[in-house]
Amino acid sequence: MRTEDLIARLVAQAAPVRVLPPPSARLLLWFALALPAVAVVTLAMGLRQDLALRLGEPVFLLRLGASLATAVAAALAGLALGVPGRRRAWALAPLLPLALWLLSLGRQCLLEIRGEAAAELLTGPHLHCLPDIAVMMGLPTIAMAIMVLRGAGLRRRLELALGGLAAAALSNAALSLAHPVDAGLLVLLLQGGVVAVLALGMGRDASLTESR
Amino acid sequence: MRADDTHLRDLMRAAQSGDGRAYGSLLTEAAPIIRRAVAGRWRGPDAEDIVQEVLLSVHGVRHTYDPARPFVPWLLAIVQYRVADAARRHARRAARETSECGFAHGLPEVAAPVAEEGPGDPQLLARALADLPEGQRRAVQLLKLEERSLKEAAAATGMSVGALKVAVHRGIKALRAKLTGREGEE
Repeated sequence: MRTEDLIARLVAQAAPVRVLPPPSARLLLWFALALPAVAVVTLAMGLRQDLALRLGEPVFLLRLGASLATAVAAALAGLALGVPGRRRAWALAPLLPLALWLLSLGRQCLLEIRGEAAAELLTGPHLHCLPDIAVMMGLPTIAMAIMVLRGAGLRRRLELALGGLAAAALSNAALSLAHPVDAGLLVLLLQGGVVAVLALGMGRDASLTESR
Repeated sequence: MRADDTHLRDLMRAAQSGDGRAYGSLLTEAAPIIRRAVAGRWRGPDAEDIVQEVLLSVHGVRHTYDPARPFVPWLLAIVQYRVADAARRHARRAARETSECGFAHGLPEVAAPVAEEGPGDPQLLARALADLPEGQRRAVQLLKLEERSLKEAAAATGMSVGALKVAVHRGIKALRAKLTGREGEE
């Protein structure tokens, strides 16, 4: 087919399209959907009894802040990478808060191994909390996956991974207000599995020609 | 380039609203830019095919363009990914093909490998293909003989990807039935 003929064919299909808002606006939309969902589950689980005490601990606040910052940065990066022409460096945005979050988990593990802190991370997974955790992560993950799929799909697996990380980080921040022990490792492991399945199912890169 | 970009940006904004005339102008003016960009990145064959793939991609993801931002970087990002796609396809195809025997080393001492299903009869195949219904024949021709992608074939025929998959499946099934049936009679 000649290029001129292809252009004529495409012009014949020039229907109006719903323009994708900028990543920052889509980030706000995601938070508007995800925050109430995690808040409802957190309140349904009940706030942890020692919350007031923990909120006075710098390490707890650092972990909470790093988790929230990871959620913001990863969500923004995942949404930005779906737009052609945006810098690849967006993928690096969540690295710093994620490193802080993981370092705080590592520090906690170390203290528990040395017996300098009460067993929390190393007590084994609270499997009975899994349904609550899954429900908490469900809506943010689904909302993010739908939003990522609206993008151009240039680096879809990476976009889904970042979106999944954002949902996990937000859920972890909410969980830390309700769950008696830190569930960060469990959340990351569970979400890692979910994202792997999503990436296998919907993660084909550069699905650029699909009409929307 | 900046004035050019502003013009293209205006055209794209109008195209996103469904203005066909603006969309036609945009694609016509973007085609040479795409062609130059592809030429700068691709030394392989079928460069014009990549240009057309980029145009199809622009059509498919035109909703992702933000009119507040420059148009050309958005376009060039798509070119970059389409060229990378083409390079991957080219590498896969090259890996599948067996290397030709160069005459510099003389003729091969062994016969060319015979296909698993036998050499077949090209004329018989051509007749069986011609007997297929139009939709199935076009689908088999584009997807199996010309090895075009589903999206390219959909653009060429105006059929949906789903309809093409069904047509090629039925076409192959019908061909197999015809060919094996005749072989049985001989």
